[in-house]
Amino acid sequence: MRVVRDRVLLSVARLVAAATSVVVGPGHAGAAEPPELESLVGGPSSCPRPDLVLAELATLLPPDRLGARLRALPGTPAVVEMVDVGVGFQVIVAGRVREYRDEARDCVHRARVAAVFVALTIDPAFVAAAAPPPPPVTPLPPVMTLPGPIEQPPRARVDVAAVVDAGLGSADRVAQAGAALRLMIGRGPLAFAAGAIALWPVDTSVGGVRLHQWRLPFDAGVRASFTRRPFATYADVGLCAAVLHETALDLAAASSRSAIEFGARAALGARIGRTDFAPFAALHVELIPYPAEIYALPKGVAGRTPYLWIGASAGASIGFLP
Amino acid sequence: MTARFAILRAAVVVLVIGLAGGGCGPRLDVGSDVLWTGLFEANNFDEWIADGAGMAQAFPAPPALNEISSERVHHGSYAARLTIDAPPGGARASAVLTRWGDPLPAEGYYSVWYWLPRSITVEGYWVIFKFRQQDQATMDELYDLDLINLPTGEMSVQLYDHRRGVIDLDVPDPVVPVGQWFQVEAFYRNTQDDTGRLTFWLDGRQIVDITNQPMAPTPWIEWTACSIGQELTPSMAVLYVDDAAVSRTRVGPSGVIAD
Repeated sequence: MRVVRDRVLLSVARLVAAATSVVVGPGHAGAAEPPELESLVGGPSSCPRPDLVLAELATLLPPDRLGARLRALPGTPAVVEMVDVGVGFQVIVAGRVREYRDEARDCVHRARVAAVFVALTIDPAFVAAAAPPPPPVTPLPPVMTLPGPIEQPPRARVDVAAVVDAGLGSADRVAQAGAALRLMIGRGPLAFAAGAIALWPVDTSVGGVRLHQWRLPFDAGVRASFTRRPFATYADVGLCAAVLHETALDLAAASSRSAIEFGARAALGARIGRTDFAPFAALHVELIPYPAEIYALPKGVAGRTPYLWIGASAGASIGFLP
Repeated sequence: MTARFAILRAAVVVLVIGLAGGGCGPRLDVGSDVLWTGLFEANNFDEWIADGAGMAQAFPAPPALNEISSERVHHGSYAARLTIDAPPGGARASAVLTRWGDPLPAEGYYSVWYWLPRSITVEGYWVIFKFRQQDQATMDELYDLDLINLPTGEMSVQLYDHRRGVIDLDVPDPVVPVGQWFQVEAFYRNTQDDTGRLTFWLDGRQIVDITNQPMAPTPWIEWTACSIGQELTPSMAVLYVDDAAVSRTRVGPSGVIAD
């Protein structure tokens, strides 16, 4: 049945193209050839095929209006493009993108949906005027149900989380807990990401020098998103810095000093779902190639603060700017 | 796609510059466990005597002499040169640099560097490092670290307890170098119960550790870096002293006692 219908639709498309050329042709003799309708509806999609979409369009708009409206769209052909993204498809009309979900991959159904979107976009007044009045007594069941557009992820997210960080290196191993705040901007596969962690101060030791340590790491970089279902997985990579404040605890003449350490940060995380409020968990690692030296007499350089920080965070990811 | 690659390229460039550009981490000077130093860099003995808790004295002077010298220095520009004349059959000669009383901790490390220009034959005794006490039974003497001669002709050290006599070292006959700086460091916990402790290191090597016994009968401590000799050949003995320190943690040969 589908093959038969495809052929019928193709025939309609060819007729529309021919009729349009007849309507437009004589008045434009000597002028530049207007683009063919088939060239105006294109794209790499195999489901739906652009020619099927054009055929469906021909059932929604008269040939002369269809040709005129498509040719009036800005840009170079194809001004209407179909993109098959597997579980869905995108319809791009003069740069305006609409994405639909269709896991069943019903290509005819897709063509019909795409045509409705195109028609509503290029000639909303005609489609509205041509819509049949509602039945007087018993409403007819809908012939076709348009799936809603795929939910777009928000343009920005804020992650709020509890964090544990463990430092490894020449110093005694140290673990710190705290709270993290991260901001992501961008809904594509790559987004800007920046964050800060406020770690609760702890007592630690570097080369035998006991210290009260307070650390505030912050970072900026890029977030690469991978899968979106059932978990939105992602990886962060970027540069980091940490404000470090150390106070000696046991020295005869103790003092406090602050410094900033620089390094690189990477993280792997997963968010459950794509809603505006979703739980997430992540692992991160910070590499500090030149950590701060702890200097105390008579040892001199007693050691360095950790050059490797490994941590985990869990919390809520809040999306905004739809 | 171009924008994405541009972001990635910029991130990589910043990352490489950031990681390669550092070189060394910041230094955080969080304080000191050094309680006192005798560096002689002010070209005087004020570090020892100015607060009234020390002494720099030579007897009989002359020929015994304490002086500031730039001939041999461990660090900086100056050291102390301690000269005594103690001929065989003669009386004791002394050149001492002493600290005492409240500035000294009940438990602490005492470090000093020495330069011995030549070997000396010790027929009597030659003390270079002392702890004293307040006890008339020993004329206030407690522990002496002496320079002695080895059968090989080299010089070594000996620990003398004025209450018990010579104490065997854990390391027999450690060699004291001649013509180069060497460090003597002691840990002294002056308690009157059996938690007292005295440990000596020679150039960072532990040579004796006296534990679990009472030390001085009172908390009072006197510490001396000195050259006290009797019956030395040649009689004129010179000893350089530099970078003395009292600290709460061990200095060791690589320690830093001043910025």
